Amino acid sequence: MIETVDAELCNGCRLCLDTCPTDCFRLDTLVSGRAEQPPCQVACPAGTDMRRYLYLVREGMIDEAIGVLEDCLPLASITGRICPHPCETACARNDVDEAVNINSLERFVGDRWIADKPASARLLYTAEVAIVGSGPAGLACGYFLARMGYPVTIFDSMPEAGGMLRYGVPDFRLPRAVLAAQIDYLRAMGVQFRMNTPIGGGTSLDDLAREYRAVFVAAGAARSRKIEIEGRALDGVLWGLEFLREVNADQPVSASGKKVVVIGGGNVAMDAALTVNRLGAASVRMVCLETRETMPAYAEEKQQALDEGVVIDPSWGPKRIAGRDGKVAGMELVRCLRVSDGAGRFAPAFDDKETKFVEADLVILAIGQEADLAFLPHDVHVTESRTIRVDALTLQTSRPGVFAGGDIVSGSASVVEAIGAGKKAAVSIDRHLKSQDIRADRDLRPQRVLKPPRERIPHIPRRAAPWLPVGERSGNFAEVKCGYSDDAARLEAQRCMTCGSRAVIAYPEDCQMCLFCERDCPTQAIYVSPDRKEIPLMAWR
Amino acid sequence: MPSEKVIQTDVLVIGGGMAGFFAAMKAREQGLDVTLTDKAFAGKSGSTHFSEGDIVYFRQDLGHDAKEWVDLISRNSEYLNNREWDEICLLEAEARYHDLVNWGVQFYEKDGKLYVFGTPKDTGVGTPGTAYTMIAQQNRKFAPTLRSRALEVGVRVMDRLMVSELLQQEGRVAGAVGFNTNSGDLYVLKAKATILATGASGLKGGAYPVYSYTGDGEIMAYKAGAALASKEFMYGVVYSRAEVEQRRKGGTVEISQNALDVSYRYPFAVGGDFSGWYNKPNLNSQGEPVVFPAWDAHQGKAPLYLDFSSASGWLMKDYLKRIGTPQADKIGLDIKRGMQIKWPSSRIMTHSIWNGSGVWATDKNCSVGIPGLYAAGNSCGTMASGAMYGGMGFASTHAMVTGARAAKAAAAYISENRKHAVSKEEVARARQEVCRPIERQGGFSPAWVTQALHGITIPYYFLDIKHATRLQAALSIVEFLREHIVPKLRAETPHEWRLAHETQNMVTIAEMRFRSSLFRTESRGNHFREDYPRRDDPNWLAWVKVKKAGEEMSLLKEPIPRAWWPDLSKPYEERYPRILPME
Ligand SMILES: Cc1cc2nc3c(=O)[nH]c(=O)nc-3n(C[C@H](O)[C@H](O)[C@H](O)COP(=O)(O)OP(=O)(O)OC[C@H]3O[C@@H](n4cnc5c(N)ncnc54)[C@H](O)[C@@H]3O)c2cc1C
Ligand SMILES: Cc1cc2nc3c(=O)[nH]c(=O)nc-3n(C[C@H](O)[C@H](O)[C@H](O)COP(=O)(O)OP(=O)(O)OC[C@H]3O[C@@H](n4cnc5c(N)ncnc54)[C@H](O)[C@@H]3O)c2cc1C
Ligand code: SF4
Ligand code: SF4
Repeated sequence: MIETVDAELCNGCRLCLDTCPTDCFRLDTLVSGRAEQPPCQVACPAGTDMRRYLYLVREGMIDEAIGVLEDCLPLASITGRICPHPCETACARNDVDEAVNINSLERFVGDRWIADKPASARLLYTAEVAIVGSGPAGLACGYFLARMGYPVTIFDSMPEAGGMLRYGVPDFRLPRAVLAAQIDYLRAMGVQFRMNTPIGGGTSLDDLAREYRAVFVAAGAARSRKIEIEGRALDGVLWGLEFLREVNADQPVSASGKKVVVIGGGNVAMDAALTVNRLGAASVRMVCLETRETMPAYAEEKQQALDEGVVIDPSWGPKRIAGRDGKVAGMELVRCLRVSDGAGRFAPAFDDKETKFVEADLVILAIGQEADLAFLPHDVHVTESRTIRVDALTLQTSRPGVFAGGDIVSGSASVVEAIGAGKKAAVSIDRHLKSQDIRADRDLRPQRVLKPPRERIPHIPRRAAPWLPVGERSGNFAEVKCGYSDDAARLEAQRCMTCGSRAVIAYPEDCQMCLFCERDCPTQAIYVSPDRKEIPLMAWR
Repeated sequence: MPSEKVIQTDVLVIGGGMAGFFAAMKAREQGLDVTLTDKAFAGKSGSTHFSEGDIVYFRQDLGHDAKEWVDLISRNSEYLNNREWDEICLLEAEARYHDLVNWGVQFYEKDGKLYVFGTPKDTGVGTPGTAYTMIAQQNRKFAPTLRSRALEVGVRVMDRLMVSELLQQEGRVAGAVGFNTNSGDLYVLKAKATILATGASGLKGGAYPVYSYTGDGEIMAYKAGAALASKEFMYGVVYSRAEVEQRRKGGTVEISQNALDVSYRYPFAVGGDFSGWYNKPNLNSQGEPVVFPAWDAHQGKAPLYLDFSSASGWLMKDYLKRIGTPQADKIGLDIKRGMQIKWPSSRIMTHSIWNGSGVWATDKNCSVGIPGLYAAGNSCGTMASGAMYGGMGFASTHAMVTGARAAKAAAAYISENRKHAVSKEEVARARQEVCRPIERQGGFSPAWVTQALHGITIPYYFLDIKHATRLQAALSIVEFLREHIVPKLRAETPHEWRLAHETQNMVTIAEMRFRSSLFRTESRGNHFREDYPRRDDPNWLAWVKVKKAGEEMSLLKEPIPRAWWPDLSKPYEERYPRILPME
């Protein structure tokens, strides 16, 4: 009869569960008392517990999976669409075949969460918290604080909430309805939104700090970095973020029939290119300093751009914008030899002898974003790179009771980093309000599971998310990447190796001593004794 | 109240063994939406994953003669085999073998060629004149291969989904209701056609692991009005510490990993010259003991030994190679006693893995007489094997053939019938039936009821060495369990929910075994009665069917066609070379 699973050897691969014909095992994915986390979780800036919720998806326990995300990852329907998913890069399954498609599974559960599970939160405290900025950092912080029972008010200068999610990321990657549902969810939790209220306008940060017991500053990095370049004042020169903001605010932007050149190789440039392409541009050419391989845009988006007919012209730098009658006529480009110096600092070098001219009637410059820090009082210190200076562990600024996070601290980064910051700040604020030590027990760097499963894992091909056919994408902003069906989600979740979980012998009395588990276990953790123990039976229960 | 999930599908296949996967793959090939559920993990549960993977190697182009092979099966099965089905299985074996190859299943090879073995005429081994040959899939690998293949082609495979009640609408079957044994979620599986492939009906007596086969599919079909066949025939296997130790060695076994299975099967297959009682030709050609160990123990001769000393050098070498030359004592070889193995049994015999019994197939399409319902593999009562297992490798072949046939018939049924809906009331009824144990506030523990059932089924004097008095006594206890205990079964966890239904099914199966055993007033094959110790021809050249009549269990005698009778002009001893204990 099955006797032991050696918890030191067991790597959580779950093969025994997927072997025992009599269902003797259960899997402990929580593994309380153990510090190691699976590689995916360690890699996730928000510390999402993939192992737990993916296991539940696989078992068809979607409600329970939602419960796990409620604890660790708000806005999952958003990150499930546009997160660069560092978790997948770290996924131990890369060493077996291919990473688990965590992103699509996150979207699956995130969408079900918003669709099926009504919001709830109970007010437990009276201490009010103000949040500046309704981007993902602000939303996440608001979510966690509301969940803990605090009254939260989010201030934003824009008419609609979401920050870059609303005015940056285009609709075809993140439909407005998805964002709106997330915001509504927060509203239903009791989070107050005060839109059209720039802090530093009528209300200052000092005012907030006076009226509220704590403030979280998450104002993002929402301004395009400008460069001096000849011709920048010509009619037909636009800046990336501002261009996207106008499109996202439904303002008419005319691009129809135009030859467009987009300068930049990052995500904003990419989104600008894909957007202007949808507005009926005759041609779209992306010009970037980097090579095709090193351009910072996400691989998925690069592929999308190629699919949709955007021309990528790598290793060129902008020299000047040529004009005719005050209007853009084209661009002169110069060969870029390298982007950064030996130390990795941004220091582009050009070969002035190699130039070329491309015709254009519209030029979009998207070469970086920066934060507008003008509204900050002097006692909130900033860094040289024009971000807010915070304590990395607690996100506390130089001013007690004021915390900051998201792009305004990190410089433009990603949604999930912003969420991670919001989550971290919520913990700090909670402790601050309770006059607890806000640093205690927080410097624990998560340990990575040392030996994730690898041996004997059956190969199962990764399920890519389905995409809208290229032919159906032009001229509209319909979402291009689609979600998983129930079946696809269950199947992809089966690929998760639940790294570092522990098998539990839950029903030893049902062991039929077939030894399948012992023989299939890749770590020799299982011992089945040839003898059967008589377990005293209860006649009734 | 468990939370409820609804799945809509064309074909629902219940059970993920050989038969289930063949049914699912073949239905999928017809472009249908297929859902396959298993109460454990499809591809790693059931007999299929335990088996050596030997399948019949019947090739007409090599001059194999179906009649010769079927005659052999008839003799082994003591004439209760359905010869039409046997022929179907043989003739379709090659096509099913090719399916396996196409799906990526690997076979054992010898010298770079398919390893063909068995008891071919020219080796002089086995029952003289036996034509039968086999090939072997790489065991412990083939079923998982079928699983991956099924997933690849889009079969919806649902693990840990125990199905326990059919949905019926206007006389047809419209799917089933089950639950997940981990999450405890209820699943309403609406299907246009349903294929039962839940394996055989054992009673969880320790034997080679049989805890998965509790007759779930058979009982679902029975409750829906189908007949079951041949519940009086037992299929005996043994179980021991040696076996467990041996299985642990499995990794090094070359051809077969279930060494004990080999250890009891092959030495016997040499035929002749064993010590004591085993000297007699009382074993079938495949070497399976009938009730003899039980009878001998009953006569006071226990402990019993298997004697290898006379095994031919060829066989012994082959055998030791197969089991990876283990330490003798690990397999129970008692060196002090020469080449003898202590009959490795904690209990004497346990019951029914396969004799082609199961849900009575009303035609050659694996229909069971209820529109929309089919059975395949061990669940399908084709009677392809009669009173005993007819031939090695035959069970798997039968599972493949019936699985494929059931799928084809299900596809035809779906295209011909437009009505597939099921009413809310019926779903509610089935849900209530399924949820009873988990919704009860208190009651009897399934494990305890199983133990009580074991007390009147597992000891050899109930179902191995039978007698009307003891059968009657056991029957009255089983009736009591059915009436008073089963309705009060209580499950505290989703896992126990499975046990509750299994227990309930086993109680009914046991009742069928007792009633069928009482009904057949003779001895034959794996059915032995002290009070009727001889075969009774032609009176009992018939099958016994069990069917629900109102709330009663009714028994029917179904004569086999006269053409299949043995030659009654020959003396008894020639018709039946196998001698029964009291003969
Ligand atoms: C075009 C584009 C595409 C992107 N694509 C991706 C992607 O695919 N994946 C990904 O992970 N990340 C992506 N990002 C990055 C991501 O959107 C940001 O990292 C993230 O939104 C930062 O969140 P945040 O909350 O810090 O700031 P933001 O989202 O910028 O939100 C800040 C909010 O603060 C408000 N605000 C600013 N100043 C004030 C003030 N003084 N008073 C009141 N309100 C103020 C702003 O109106 C804004 O609503 C993209 C960014 C852009 C621009
Ligand atoms: C040790 C051993 C060796 C054997 N060797 C050979 C051999 O070499 N050659 C040969 O031809 N035959 C052999 N057999 C017999 C052969 O393996 C079987 O006849 C054949 O595999 C039966 O296949 P099946 O699909 O009908 O049933 P099974 O393989 O038993 O599959 C039934 C499946 O149904 C599932 N199930 C049961 N109830 C439910 C429910 N209520 N809901 C959901 N799922 C359910 C079970 O979990 C199981 O996975 C051997 C059998 C054993 C035990
Ligand atoms: S198979 Fe072994 S390593 Fe894997 S979960 Fe089970 S006990 Fe742990
Ligand atoms: S030995 Fe026991 S616990 Fe292990 S797989 Fe077999 S029945 Fe399950």
